[in-house]
This record gives sequence, C-alpha cells and structure tokens, in this order.
Amino acid sequence: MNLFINFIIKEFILLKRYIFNSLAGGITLVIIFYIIFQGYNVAAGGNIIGSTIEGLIVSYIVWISAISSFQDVTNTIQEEKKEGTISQLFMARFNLVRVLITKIFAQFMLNFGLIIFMLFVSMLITNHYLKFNIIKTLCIYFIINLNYWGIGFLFGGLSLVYKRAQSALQIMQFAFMALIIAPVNVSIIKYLPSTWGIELLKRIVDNYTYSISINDILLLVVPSILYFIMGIMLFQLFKKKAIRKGIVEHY
Amino acid sequence: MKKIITLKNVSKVYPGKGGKSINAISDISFSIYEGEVVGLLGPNGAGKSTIIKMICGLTIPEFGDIIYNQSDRNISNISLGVVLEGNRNLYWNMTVMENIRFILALHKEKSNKKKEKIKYFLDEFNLSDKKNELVSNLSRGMQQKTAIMISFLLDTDLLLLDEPTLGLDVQSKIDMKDFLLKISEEYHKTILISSHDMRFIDEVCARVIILNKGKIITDNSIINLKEYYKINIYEINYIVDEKSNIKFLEELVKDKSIVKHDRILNKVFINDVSGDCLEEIIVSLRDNYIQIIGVNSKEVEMEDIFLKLVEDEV
Repeated sequence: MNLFINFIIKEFILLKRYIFNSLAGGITLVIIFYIIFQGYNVAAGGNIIGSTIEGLIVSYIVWISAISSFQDVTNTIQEEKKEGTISQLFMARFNLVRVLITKIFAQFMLNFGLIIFMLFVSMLITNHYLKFNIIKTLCIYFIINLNYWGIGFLFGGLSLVYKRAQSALQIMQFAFMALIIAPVNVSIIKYLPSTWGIELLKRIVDNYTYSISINDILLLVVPSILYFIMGIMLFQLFKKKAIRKGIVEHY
Repeated sequence: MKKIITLKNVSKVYPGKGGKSINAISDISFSIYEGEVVGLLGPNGAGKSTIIKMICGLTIPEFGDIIYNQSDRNISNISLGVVLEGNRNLYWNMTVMENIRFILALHKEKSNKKKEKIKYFLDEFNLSDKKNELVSNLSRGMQQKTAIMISFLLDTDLLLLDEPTLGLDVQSKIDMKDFLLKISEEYHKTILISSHDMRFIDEVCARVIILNKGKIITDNSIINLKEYYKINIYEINYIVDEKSNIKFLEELVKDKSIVKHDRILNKVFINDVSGDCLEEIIVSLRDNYIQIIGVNSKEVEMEDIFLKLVEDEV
C-alpha cells in the first residue's frame, strides 16, 4: 500500500510539474474526438443517430484507455531505461512484476480522472448524454483493462531485450482500434483481447436495462485474466533473458 | 568475522558479435567480511562492473555461486545499497526529498517512520539545503552523494559503489574520498568500491582485489601489497648553469642508473635497489656541477603495483 501511495504521489508530482504537457495531451484528445465526431456527422448527412453516438463515445473512451493502460507498462520500462533508473526497479525489495502492477494500478487511478473528463467532454460535444449503471460499467471497464495490461507486459518484456521493440508500440494503437471495432458476431473474435468487454459496454450504455448473463461474465472475465497472466508470464521470460544477457540497463 | 558475501568460482560470458562469446569474468572467488572497505581495481573491461551487477542481481553468473550472508543463495535475503556507474541512481525530474521517499518505498520502507534519520543524514551529508532541489539541478558530486545517502537510509548489509568518481572534478573527487573515509570509519559499513582510479582506491580502501581481463590477479590488503612491492625510488631535483655537464645525465639514463629523466621540470628518478647508489649519484652529479636542490623518496603507488602485477602475469 505504501508503494502504491508513493507511485500515486510520484505520478501526481510529475503531472503537476509538467502541467502544460498534461494539458496539451488532454486538449489533443478532445480535438481528435471532435474531428472524428464531425467526420461521422458529415458521413451520416448531419443525421447521426443515438446508438451510433453511444458506440462512438464508448469506442473512443476505450481506445484512449487501451493506449494509456498498454503504455503504462511499456512506457515505464522505456522511460526508466532511458533515464537509467530501471535498475532501481530491478533491485527493489519487491518483485519487479509486483512493482509494475502497483505502478499500473496507481496510474489507472490517475488515468481514471482523465477518462471521466473525456467522457464528460465527449457527451458535451455530441450533445448526447449517456445513461448507464456506474458499478457495472466500472467493473467491465476494469476487466477490459486487464487485457491491455497483459499486452503491455508482453511488449514491456520485449523492450527489455530488444531495443527496436519501441517501433512496434506505435503500431499497437491501430491494433487496438481494430479490436474495438471488430465484429463480435464472428465467433473467434469474441475471444480476442477486450472485444467482448467492449461489446458489453456498448450494450449497457445503449440499453440501460440490459442484464448481463453468466455467459457474458465468463466471456468477459476468463479471456481477460488469461491475457493478463500470459502477458506477465512472457514478461518474466524476457526479464530472465535480459538478466542472463546482462542488458537490463542498456538503452 | 562474518562473511557478508562470497563469490565462489564465478564465471560470466556475454554473447558477442558474430556468435563469439566474451569472457567477462573467469572463475573468480572471494569473500567480503563485515565492516571491510574493499576496492575492486582494474582497467576498463576488467570485469569490475560485471561483478557489481552480478552481486546485485542485474545479471547472473554462468557458472559458480554467489552466497549471501554465509549460507543463502537468495539475493532477496540480503539488503544491498547500490550506487551504479554514471547518473543512473536517481530520478532527475524529482527533488532530493521526493527521491528519498520513493526509493525508500521501493525498498519496503516508510519515509515517515524515518523522519529523524532522514534529517540526520541530510545534515550529515550536507544536503539539507538541497533537499527540495531537483536532482537535475545538482552537481555530479552532489548527485553521487545523494545516491549514497539514500543507500545509507536503507540500512543495508553491503554498499556497492560502481565507479563513484567517474566524471567528478578534482575537488569533488577529494570530497568523495573524505566522505567515504568518514562514513566507513563512523558507521563501520561494509563497502565494495569498483574503480579504475587507483589512487582513489589506495586512499579509501583497506583491501584491494585487482582484476585484469576478467581474472583476479591479486587479493590482498593494500599495506601488504605496498610492503611486498616496496621500491626505493628517489626523486632528485636539480638546477644547472653554464658549468654543468648536462651530457652526464644522459649517460646515467643510458646506463640505467636513472630510471626517468624529466628535462622540463629538472628532475631525475633513481631506483636505489642496493641502498648505496643514491649517494654515488649525488656525488657524481655534484662533480659534474649539477646543483641538487632537493631529494625526496617516492612511495610505491597502486599504479606501480598494478603495472608490476600485470607484467608478472604476462
């Protein structure tokens, strides 16, 4: 808990210290959403319908969340390698994975503020106010993030060993977009990371009374936990490889 | 004395270019005892940093064992304070205090439980007025001091310092030396210092492990080494005038009575192995109208010992 609090303090200090960067990031996200929304509006001949707007808002929010959750792991590794402080995390009295999980949960708490802000702004832009069950939405949202953290751990591990892994990170933004818009009625797709969770989010936002079945929960939880655990296991493999090769602090 | 750490037949091979492997460390063994200040000395590429990295778990040996606290092979059962080479020990975009809090948290320590201790060490390390400064605004010496101070706050069994003088100016190097001497005496800390700065190791450590090409060429106390490699080198300062026979000095160089002649500073160095040639040379210099203004004996330095050891190895 002490480490968790210290991570929140550290991230908050840096957010405050680089306030202009933080604000610029937020404004960019608002502008991108505005452009996407206007694009949709023009395509729909100025008559964009309710469920499309809801889908658009949910997709955009999940996309931002996907990128930030994924980057929480990969950026931590990259930044600490760049700054040369990665060895501090390796030599901590906690296991490295535990340190990183604590860090991503702390970052998740802070990012959550950004997500709420973006949700509010996107509803203002679209002039369409979503009605949803907060508890259900939060639970699904958190479980969706497990997938992205899992992928983040995989790429974080890769970047420990391979210097050029960073270039693959940019491509992931588009891969996440593909996952968000992927049609879940194709059976294999619903097992891909986060796809079923996003579908559920869209359903509960579209229909306030939508009741989640056991089947929905299983399809949401089981693959998410599997992807998270697989990501951590692969990260551990790459970590061992980096230690064996003696390249932990190489940048 | 209690062994803090033991390396037993440790070897480390790094993969090199073109499938070739590089032997960074070959079959080395040594122990470090509680309260010792040990220097790891050697030229670049000798394997010093690899040893430090292996001890702190940043890499693992291919062969051999690293035993912590006498019987434990698990690194998590020893508390290590590590200050790695370069500026890799602190978060530059955070202040000294923020670094203290965060790094303590990484080591399962709560800064609010150590308030008194933090205050004490900030004063002790002359960092109190810098505690709210960003680390990026501190000098290199101050950054090193901060990193060492944080290691101190962790109450570690062993403090590892990898090239602590690298990049420091002359004054910071002297400060660092005084500072390490003070902390080793006052706190009886077990410290392993890796460096290629032979004079620094000579001044700070009691024992030295000299490495060359991944092998230990000696492991002994500095006093013993100096006694063993004792030399009788004398430095003679002279002045000349029109009557002086300068050619005589060149003759002495030729017949190897003089080991070194500094023509700019007007100095000659002689190695008086037998104990009577110093007098002979002084007399003959006077006979040749070369006026002697001072004679100093030169103590053997780590550099001389290192060169001798490498020469013996070859």
